[in-house]
Amino acid sequence: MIEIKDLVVAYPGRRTNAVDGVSFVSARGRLTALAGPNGSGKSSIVKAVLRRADIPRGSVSVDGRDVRLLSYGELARKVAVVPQREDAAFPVQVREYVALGRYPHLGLWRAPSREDELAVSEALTQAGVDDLADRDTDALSGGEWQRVRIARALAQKTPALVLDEPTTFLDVAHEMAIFELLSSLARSGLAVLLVSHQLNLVARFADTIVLLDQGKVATSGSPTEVMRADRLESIYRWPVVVTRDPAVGAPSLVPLRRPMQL
Amino acid sequence: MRQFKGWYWMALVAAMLLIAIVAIARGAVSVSLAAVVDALRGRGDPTAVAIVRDLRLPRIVLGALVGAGLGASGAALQGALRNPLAEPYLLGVSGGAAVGAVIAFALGATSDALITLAAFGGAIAAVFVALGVARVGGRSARADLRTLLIAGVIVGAFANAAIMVALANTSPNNIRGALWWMMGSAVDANWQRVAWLAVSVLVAGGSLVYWAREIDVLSLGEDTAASLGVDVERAGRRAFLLAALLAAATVSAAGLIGFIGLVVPHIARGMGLRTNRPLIIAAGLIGATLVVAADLAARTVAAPTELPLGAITALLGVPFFLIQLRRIS
Repeated sequence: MIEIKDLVVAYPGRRTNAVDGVSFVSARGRLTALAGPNGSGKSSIVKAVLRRADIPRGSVSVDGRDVRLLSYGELARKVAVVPQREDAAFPVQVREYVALGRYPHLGLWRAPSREDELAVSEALTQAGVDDLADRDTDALSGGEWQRVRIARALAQKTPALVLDEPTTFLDVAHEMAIFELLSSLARSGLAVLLVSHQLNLVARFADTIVLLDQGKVATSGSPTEVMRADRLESIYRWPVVVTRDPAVGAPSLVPLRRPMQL
Repeated sequence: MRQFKGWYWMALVAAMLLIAIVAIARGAVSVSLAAVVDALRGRGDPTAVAIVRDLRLPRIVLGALVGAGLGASGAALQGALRNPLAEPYLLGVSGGAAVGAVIAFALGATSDALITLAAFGGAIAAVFVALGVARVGGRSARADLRTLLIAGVIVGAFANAAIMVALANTSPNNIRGALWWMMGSAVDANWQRVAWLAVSVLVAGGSLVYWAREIDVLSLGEDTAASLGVDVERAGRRAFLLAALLAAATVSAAGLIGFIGLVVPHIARGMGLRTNRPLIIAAGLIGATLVVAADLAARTVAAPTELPLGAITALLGVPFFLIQLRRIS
């Protein structure tokens, strides 16, 4: 479980706080989505979870322990993160890449054990990238690369998983496949925290949505509670209507064209 | 990409030994293979024994250690800095070492140990200046690796300017010595230097091999590396310092030998190696082979005139790099 309490994240040289008193919980067995406009503080929260941001106030704790009191290794055994951007400097074989997920579990000589190899094969299967194992990372399509990155995080075998925009640049089928995967991971007992712009997909898959605006929680709750036209309009500063998805009945956001100025 | 096969290791070691044997036998005076074996055991013609044991053997071992150090240093740096163009001399190490050596020359130092020490001191000083510059220039107290690279280049440029000032004020005799040193050469090899370099290469190179897995993780980028439990700043600094130490030791032992640190890691990658532990070891072996081969060429191509080793490695390295570049793009 990841618990964010009254979190403030500040960057040097910026007058306003990137994250300004945010609290929410990403519980085990649930898919929690973190949404909001660009610059609303989503990625800063991910950085705070990774201990890569200054936290002047508040706390991030994982399974009841403040991340600042954990060593980097301990933290990596509790939370796996798939950051927004990642470009491997040199191509690596997919199996070797996924095996890097075992880094926080390696012993003094950094040699992989039988257990590590097992975790890698399991992660490859879970993420559905078994058949890519012998390929190089520079020979993957965008969708394959995202799944391979998720496999690397799964190889960490952590109780919590954080993903920052894992479906950017992906087509409908690949996007759906990732959401299905994350949803099943949550069902299997993981705490999954997903940063995403895809409000309509989030509304169909997430158990809880936390909607951020200018570093604060604007609203949070179940998709039906959060997806209300008036709230979304004031957060995104754009006219919208919220309808029902004809197939599954989930709330669905439709942004409108701006009325013509006469 | 090509698959690295187990027997490649044997081929790499065999190639290095073969080149070393040829390099012992060939030169201004050629020694037959049988005579080489005898001389190594201290038997046979005393002149041959002296040539093999006192002149060529230390020179070849020194060349091999220099190549191994530069190759391993370059491989580790390219991984840690995530930059295929990174090489040990970019860290300001070479410029710093040259400043140290040139100052020693300008002050009229002739003792071999003194010049080696001055060069090493200069190199280490440059690394710490670069670390300081990166810390001041960076946005936070953390010296980010890209800033570190830029700081190294700046310190190197400053060092070059300092060398010119120092050379302008020194006697022609000292200039020749300093220039020869800057062109890189294994000519002054002796067992004392070999021992000093061997210790540095084993300690710093061994540490890089030990930390290689961390460099694998670092090469995924800072956020990902942090998510995998690596203290990014500390790990980056460690790789930087160890690579710089290796380069400083080689520069103080044999001057500037260009292109090895840049090209050799790419050769190792071209053979199909991707993770850093085997990559650093293979880069060491390939670097050793190439420098011994280049030194053999430096001694024999225009004999009895000796060519500067650093120029030979660059002459061989540039076309090679161009071919590599075409294969990449």
